[in-house]
Amino acid sequence: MTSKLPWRGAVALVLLTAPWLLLLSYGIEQLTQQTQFLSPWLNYPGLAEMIEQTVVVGITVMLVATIVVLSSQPLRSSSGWLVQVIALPHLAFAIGLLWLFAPYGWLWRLVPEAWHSSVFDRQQLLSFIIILLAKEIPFLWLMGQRTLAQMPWRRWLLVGQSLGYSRQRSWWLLVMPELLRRMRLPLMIVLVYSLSVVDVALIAAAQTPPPLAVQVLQWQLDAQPASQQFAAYGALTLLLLAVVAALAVFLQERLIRAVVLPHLGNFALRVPWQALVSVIGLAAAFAIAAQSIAVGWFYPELWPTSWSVERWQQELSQLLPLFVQSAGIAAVVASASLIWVVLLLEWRRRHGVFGLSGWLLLPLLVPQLTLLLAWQELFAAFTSGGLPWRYALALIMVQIPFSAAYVYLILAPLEQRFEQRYLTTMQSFGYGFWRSWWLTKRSLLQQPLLLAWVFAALVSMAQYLPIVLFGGGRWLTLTSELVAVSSGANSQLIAIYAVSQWLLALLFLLVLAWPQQAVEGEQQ
Amino acid sequence: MSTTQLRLSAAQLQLAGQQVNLPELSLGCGEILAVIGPSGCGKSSWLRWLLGDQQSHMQVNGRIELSGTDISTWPIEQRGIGIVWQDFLLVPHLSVQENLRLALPKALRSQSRQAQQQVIFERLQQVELGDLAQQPVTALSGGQRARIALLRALINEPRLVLLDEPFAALDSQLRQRIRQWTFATLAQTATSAIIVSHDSADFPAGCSQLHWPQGANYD
Repeated sequence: MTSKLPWRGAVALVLLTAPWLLLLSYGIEQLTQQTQFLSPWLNYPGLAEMIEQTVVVGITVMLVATIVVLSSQPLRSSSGWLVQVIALPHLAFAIGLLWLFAPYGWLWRLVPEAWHSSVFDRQQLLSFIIILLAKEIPFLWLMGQRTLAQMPWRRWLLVGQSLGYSRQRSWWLLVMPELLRRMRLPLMIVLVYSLSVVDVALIAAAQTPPPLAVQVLQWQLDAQPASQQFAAYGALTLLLLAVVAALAVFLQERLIRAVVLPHLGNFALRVPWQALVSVIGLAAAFAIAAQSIAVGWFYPELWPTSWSVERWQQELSQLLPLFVQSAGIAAVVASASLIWVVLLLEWRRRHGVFGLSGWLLLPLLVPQLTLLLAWQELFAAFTSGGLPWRYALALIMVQIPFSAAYVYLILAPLEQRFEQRYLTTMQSFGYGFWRSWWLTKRSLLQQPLLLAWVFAALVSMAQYLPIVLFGGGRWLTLTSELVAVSSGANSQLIAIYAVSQWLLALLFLLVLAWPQQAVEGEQQ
Repeated sequence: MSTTQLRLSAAQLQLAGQQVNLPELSLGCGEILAVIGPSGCGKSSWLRWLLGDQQSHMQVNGRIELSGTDISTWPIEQRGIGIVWQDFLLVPHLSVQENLRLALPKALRSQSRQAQQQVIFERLQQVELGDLAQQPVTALSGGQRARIALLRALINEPRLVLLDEPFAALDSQLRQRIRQWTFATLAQTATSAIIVSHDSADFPAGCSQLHWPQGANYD
């Protein structure tokens, strides 16, 4: 940092979080005392801690991510590297990070014993928060860049400078209030995800008790009717927390605009983010790759006793079908999501329908577990025959809304700017509508279309809950198997699955190397 | 001049709560109709309605007859009407030749690439733009873009061409030259055209003129 955060700004930041946490603790206590009909569920051991842990994680991630993202340079630089960072499979990344930095991890062994600390440990609140931040900050940077691209912010900065403010101060006073308003949706998505994430929580969060979403899944997977009832209550609580999350984003925005921004002066976070994120990402990848071929890597040794690919060879017969299956499911889901969003966007153009964004983004604004549990009831009759293709179809269908939401986030702003008269012109030459679309819009929007497809595939590839709840045990993916093996103690096996997941993500990223045709300057 | 190519029954436009009544219009083969009116009065939207692209912010009712056939409900691709936009809208990542190839009439699209190139080259030669065939359209000057845009519309052999403020993006000197070239080319190909502009200097001498009906609040 080049300048210190003025003290008034720091006080405001503390004030931002405190009321929420106090209100929540008080609310849970009151609720447990007064609501009798829910008493078996409300008296479940550790419920209040689970909810508190969930909310602390959500609010902390939102707050820290907001501060880091909005006050740092990547927001105003090119987005090429960010796409690659976001493409990192977050489970594999989490495993790599824990193996590097957690106690008894690889880099931990380099630290003198006197400095050893267990702040960043496996299955601990802080580690969970840090891993979520590492995942969400690049996503918010990318969303911020795309939002900025739609604002004449450089001209606003010039106006500010012509009025005598510094460039940085003009940024806080003129650009940031509008940017914050436009970033509501991505911030809500981050908050809701942090409240309800299960797969990362299983690996990184404390489990005694676990975050609420993890417990809800455990209740749901328990065949007892009472547990399933608990799961329903838990899912509704997650939904309620998502509503509160929306309010939290509004409140945060108002407070930042009213109290923080006027006092930020020339403050800016000047951290070499690109280098930092790239180094950590590469280190995590290298660490799990090394672990996947390490034999006898005991503490406190810096290197294993030997290297061998024997375990890879043993696992190959299991891994290959999983790799192909994961890639296949992701490719089908991504293609269906892309087609679905393109159809909806053209339908919106033709009929001038508004409010499409709300419906398409809803799956990201509602806790995934809540939605999936509701859909499970809907699909129960369809999958009851036990036929594998029915499970596959259900699995693909329930993933489409989540991938489609990301496709929409990436594609919609560019599609909206697209000059639709290109299509009209092609139609005047005698081509049908979709042929005209293919000849002009597809080629002019090729890069965003490819990026949206890749994102959709990566989102699908990383899905855990749909596989567990809809795969019926017949359809597994690298992600579901990675979570399964992570509960064991065989670190080499865990690393092998994590590396495989990473390789699959890289495979999808290669699609982006497709030759670029679009000349964006010619679009409206 | 010749047989009636286009006949428009009295059309009604609903725009921002205002109603505009247009008189009955007819246009012979190779004739040009000039439509003049202030900016924002709905001329361009009306032109797009003729093309078959009904705009959601404006309701237009009326009957369009082209070569004696009622095409009011036909989709854009079946009408045989071409358009040249004010900003030309050449496909930016393609060359001049590729832009023109996209616009070849259906009968030519099934022919060999060589035959297509021959037609395109001949048409470019006719208007003395043969040396531009391989150029990316982004490398063209404003005047060259204007000419390629008109050529692209004409190479499709439409029954009617709509010109939506086609000279507005050009500077005054170039504007005069391109104007003359455009009307000479239209006359050469005997193509009927409707040209919309807010500047009466854009119209050729002696053409039919429609002054956009007054009475509506154009703001």
